[in-house]
Amino acid sequence: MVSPREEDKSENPFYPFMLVETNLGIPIPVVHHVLAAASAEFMDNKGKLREDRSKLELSSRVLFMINPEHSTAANTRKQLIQEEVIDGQSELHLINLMFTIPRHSKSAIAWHHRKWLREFVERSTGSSFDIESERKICERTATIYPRNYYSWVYRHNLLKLMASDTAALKTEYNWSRAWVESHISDHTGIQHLERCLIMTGLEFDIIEHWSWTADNIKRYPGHEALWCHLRFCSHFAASRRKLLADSIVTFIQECMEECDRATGEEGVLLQKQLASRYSLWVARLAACSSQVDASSKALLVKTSLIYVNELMELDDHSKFYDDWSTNTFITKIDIK
Amino acid sequence: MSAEPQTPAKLQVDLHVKYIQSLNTKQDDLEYWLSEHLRVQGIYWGLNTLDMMDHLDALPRDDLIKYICSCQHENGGFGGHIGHDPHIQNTLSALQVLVTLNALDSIDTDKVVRYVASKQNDDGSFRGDDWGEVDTRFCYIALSICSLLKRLDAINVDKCVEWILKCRNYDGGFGNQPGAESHSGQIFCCVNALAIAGALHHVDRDLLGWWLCERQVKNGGLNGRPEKLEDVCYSWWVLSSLATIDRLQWINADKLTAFILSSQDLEDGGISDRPGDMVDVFHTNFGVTGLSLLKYPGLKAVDPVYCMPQYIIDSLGLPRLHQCNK
Repeated sequence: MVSPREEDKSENPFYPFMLVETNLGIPIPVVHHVLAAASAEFMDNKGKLREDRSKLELSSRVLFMINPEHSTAANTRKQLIQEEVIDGQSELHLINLMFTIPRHSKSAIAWHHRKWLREFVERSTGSSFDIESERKICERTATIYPRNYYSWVYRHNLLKLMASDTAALKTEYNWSRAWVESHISDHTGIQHLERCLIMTGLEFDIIEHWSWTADNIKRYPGHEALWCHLRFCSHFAASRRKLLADSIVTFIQECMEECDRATGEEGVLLQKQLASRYSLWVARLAACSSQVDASSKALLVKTSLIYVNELMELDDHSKFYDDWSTNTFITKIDIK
Repeated sequence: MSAEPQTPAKLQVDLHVKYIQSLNTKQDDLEYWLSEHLRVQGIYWGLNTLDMMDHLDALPRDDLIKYICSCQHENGGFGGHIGHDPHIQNTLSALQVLVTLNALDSIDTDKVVRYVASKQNDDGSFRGDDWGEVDTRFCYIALSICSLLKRLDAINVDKCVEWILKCRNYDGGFGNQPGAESHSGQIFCCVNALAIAGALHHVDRDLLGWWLCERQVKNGGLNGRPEKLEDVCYSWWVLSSLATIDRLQWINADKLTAFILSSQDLEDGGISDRPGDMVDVFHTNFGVTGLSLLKYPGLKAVDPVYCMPQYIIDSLGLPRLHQCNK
């Protein structure tokens, strides 16, 4: 971190700020003075009908940029946009700039501000927003801040806009799948892939997708996010009468064997735990589902009873497994 | 991931009281200014913590009431601080503070109810304020406010339940809107909103309870979503949801208790998100309320649905919508 030195005060007319070309540096120790001053100016100008709105614009900009969760500053800016004091396009650039700061890029209020702005501009100009640039900002923020909840929610809403466009959904699915391959522990991104699968619906080859997920699980052991996705795939497959019990049991066995061969490696214990949990989860899914045949149910439940012991040996601390193994849990399931 | 906690200290009640009392005097801290918009919520977190530890009188009652009232707007809603715009989130916090101080008569509650009711959309969901953000959080807040004021008749509860159920996912959890990822904070909101609405039968308790207890990581702490870091605040969001659906026994309580206690600042008081980080009043409250659900000795019992002491909910004559604190 670079801080301006007191002895440079005479040569730096902006002290304690630093201005290098067009870049402004504000030292952390003085930020609270900036906020206090901006807050006072903001409150002084808010609610007053004045010809000159520039002080309100400037103070709300400082408050919002330093703290995107300052909803009153964000609201005031929306009002100034409606009054045409602030231009919609320049506000968009401001949010883009704000979203270069990782912490800021996860702000619910900032993302709502962007959504509101998009809808306002579309309403007032009659022209639609460039979806491609919206996708880009989502990709960038999802990358700089992992599991960025509101960034992905925003992207879901973009996805809804193309619900009837099969080709666009396919493109989004392919993009999402590639993204997941390089962010395998980001469950929020993986959940977006699930949205794509749901929206493309029945046309999907869920068996191929299940295998792709299973391959990734073997390649990157010990990632809960991938195992969650395998649960989703199983749920999806079961609802379409495509749950392949034999492949599931084989897959879990293979994972366990690979773990036994790779003792000591990071993630191995976790992988065993996650594989065992998956076995229990898919057994309950099958047992509760009317779309799964009796022999598959029996196989999956029988398998789960082996792995629940494994979980207890692994010192998995949830008492859930005690309930499972003493059958108080599984007997609630109708196995016919 | 942080290391296994050492033998943890006891709950430092005196230090936490001092910490909460000191919060309004830190105007040279950046955090003070960054949390300006959260002042009303901060008072709820602080006061609730104090009440749980039986130190309600550690903050000046009359000053608090006066301050809270000064944050109410003509439309009935409360801002996060004097001069800040109204929002239903701050409105709930303001109400919780006034209920705790037995001072509901200092405001016009009908106006509050009208404000909340005016935020419901046709599909049953709620907007947080006049600018239109929609989130399952706001459903919980609206139901909680109307329930505390015994005015559930003022909103369309059935429609709200219908919308919340659209936010449910295959894993049994809930997101902040239809299609969004399951998130423990949103699950707290949805499960307890359904409890208030008398609609918990829609929840698959075993499926959701399992997902929630899978939030417990190796060091005993809980995370909010898969592969996120553990965080003390989830000791509340996850645990209270488990309590409401009667699956609290699936968590390893000893390990979680140790994790929360190891997140205390043993010099200046307060609790942080995880051991070694800076404390704040938000995590202090949810650490202490979490410990209460874990039956930590010396704390008052907490109601998991309202996140307020059980005796207050009982004294309002509201039913217990959960199986705890028998």
